[in-house]
Amino acid sequence: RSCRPRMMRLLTHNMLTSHVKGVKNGYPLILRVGELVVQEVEFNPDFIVRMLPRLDWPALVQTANSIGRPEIPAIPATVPEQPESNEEFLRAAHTLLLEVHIKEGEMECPESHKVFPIRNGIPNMLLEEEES
Amino acid sequence: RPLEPGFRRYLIIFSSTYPEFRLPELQAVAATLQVGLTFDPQSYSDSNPFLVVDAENDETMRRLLSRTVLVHGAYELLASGSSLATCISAAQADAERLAPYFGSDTLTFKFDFESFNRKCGRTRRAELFQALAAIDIRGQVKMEDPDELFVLCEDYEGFPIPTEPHQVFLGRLVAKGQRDLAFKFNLKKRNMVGNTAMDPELAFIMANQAKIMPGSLVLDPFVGSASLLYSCAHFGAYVLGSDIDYQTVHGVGKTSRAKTGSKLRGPKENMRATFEQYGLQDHFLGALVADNAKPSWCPRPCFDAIVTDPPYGIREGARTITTPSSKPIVVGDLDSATHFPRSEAYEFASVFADLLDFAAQQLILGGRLVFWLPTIRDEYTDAQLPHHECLRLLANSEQCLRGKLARRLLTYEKVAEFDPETHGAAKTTVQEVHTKVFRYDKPG
Repeated sequence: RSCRPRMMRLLTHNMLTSHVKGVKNGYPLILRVGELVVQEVEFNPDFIVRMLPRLDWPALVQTANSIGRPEIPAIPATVPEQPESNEEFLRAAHTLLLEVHIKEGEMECPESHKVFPIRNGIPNMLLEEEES
Repeated sequence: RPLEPGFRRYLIIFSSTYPEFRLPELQAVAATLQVGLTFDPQSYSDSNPFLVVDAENDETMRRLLSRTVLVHGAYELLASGSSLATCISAAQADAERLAPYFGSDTLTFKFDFESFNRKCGRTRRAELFQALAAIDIRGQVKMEDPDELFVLCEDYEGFPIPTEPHQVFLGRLVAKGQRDLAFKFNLKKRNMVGNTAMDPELAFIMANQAKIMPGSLVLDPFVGSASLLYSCAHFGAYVLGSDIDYQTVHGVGKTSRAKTGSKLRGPKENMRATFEQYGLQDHFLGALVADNAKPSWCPRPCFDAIVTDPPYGIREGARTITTPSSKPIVVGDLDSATHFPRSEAYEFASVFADLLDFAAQQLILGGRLVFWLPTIRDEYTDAQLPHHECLRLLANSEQCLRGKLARRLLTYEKVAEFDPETHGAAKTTVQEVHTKVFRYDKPG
């Protein structure tokens, strides 16, 4: 298995929000993808199961649909019953959360329209003084 | 001390490094692995490497030692006494219990001699061998790869050094601790190091304090060169980092390595290449450029642990974002068009107050916050410790730095759900003490 650099994942995107001063609805950040790579990551079903209750699933579905690339696996609109015994679902969630790497792109605050760039796989979440 | 039913007695020998961290690490690992471990705290002192503990069986001890970096080895305690003679007679008196080790003709064994605070010379070794002859050991001596490794440990603690040991232990090796990890993760061989990279041994102690388990989600909000995250990832955590320093996160700019022939970071001087170096790339979820004074994480519990070494101005000044300057900071080779807001010194007390608030909000219930607090040795009191209603302090160990300076490794556990209505800012009283001594570096 090749050891290629790790970039921003949708798991991280799901946990980030706009923190621009005064913004009420800064979540989820609108993700615009420039360059996307799919890199294999060891499948750890226990980790995915652990993460499910910590995710905002509707936001993940919305973001996955908005990317509109063939590399994005299909996931159900809601987390199925007993996900821990549903390997097909866990593999799709694994690919979406951990194997899809955003190399170049940006995230936009849905309310203030502040843009957070993603360069070389690393988002820049810094604000200017007047925004914070 | 009577032995509880179903338990066995073991001798733990600690390494000589970081004595004040030994018991907290052992207790944290026992809690992480949900292992029953009992001992008499009165029987232990940091000036002595021996601790007698009771645990269920050898497997329990092997699991514990698969995680501890401050334990040299664990031995089943076969006999002990306040002198060599009493230890030997205790072994003779307990022949029935020791029959599996000393009564078998086919078992191969080897003896090691360990002594604390006094060298065990040739004369003493001869005396020890002679004393051991009084125990009827039926097996065969084998120097290479014996079935059992027995140890006779003598404790000469005290000043002046006593002529006779005041504790003698006879043990059977069960497991060795993880002392080798400090070598595997040696900073000299690491692709990327920063000015304030953590000693690997301490980084592993921190991971143990943080109760890292396979599948834990861990954040370091002052990630620097990620020196705290390699140990967490090694124990199976998935790790994220953030830092206000764009160049460090991207692995560009000035190198912290001397004698590389270049003043700039090389192609492998970044955290991704370092996770790859250790085969931990699948556990590295990525890094962000972000300001921990204004966190960009959704305000919901998501992390199992926050493990960090906040900057406090001795080697790396704390910074936060301030008014854009007329002269923007421009970063060279990567993307020269990018504008960087200026950063300023981040108030010492605010760093810790913000960190506790952040942890109270972002940790799952039972999750842990582990970080260093700088202190002045003469002036330290427990009242200086930052406090938050949702977090309970579990461990507090001091490491002396130069002069009057020290730092304390603090371990907190989240014990109550965070309610933004009732839980305002964390209370901290550290500010006054520290602004006197700690220098704030002006940002470059």
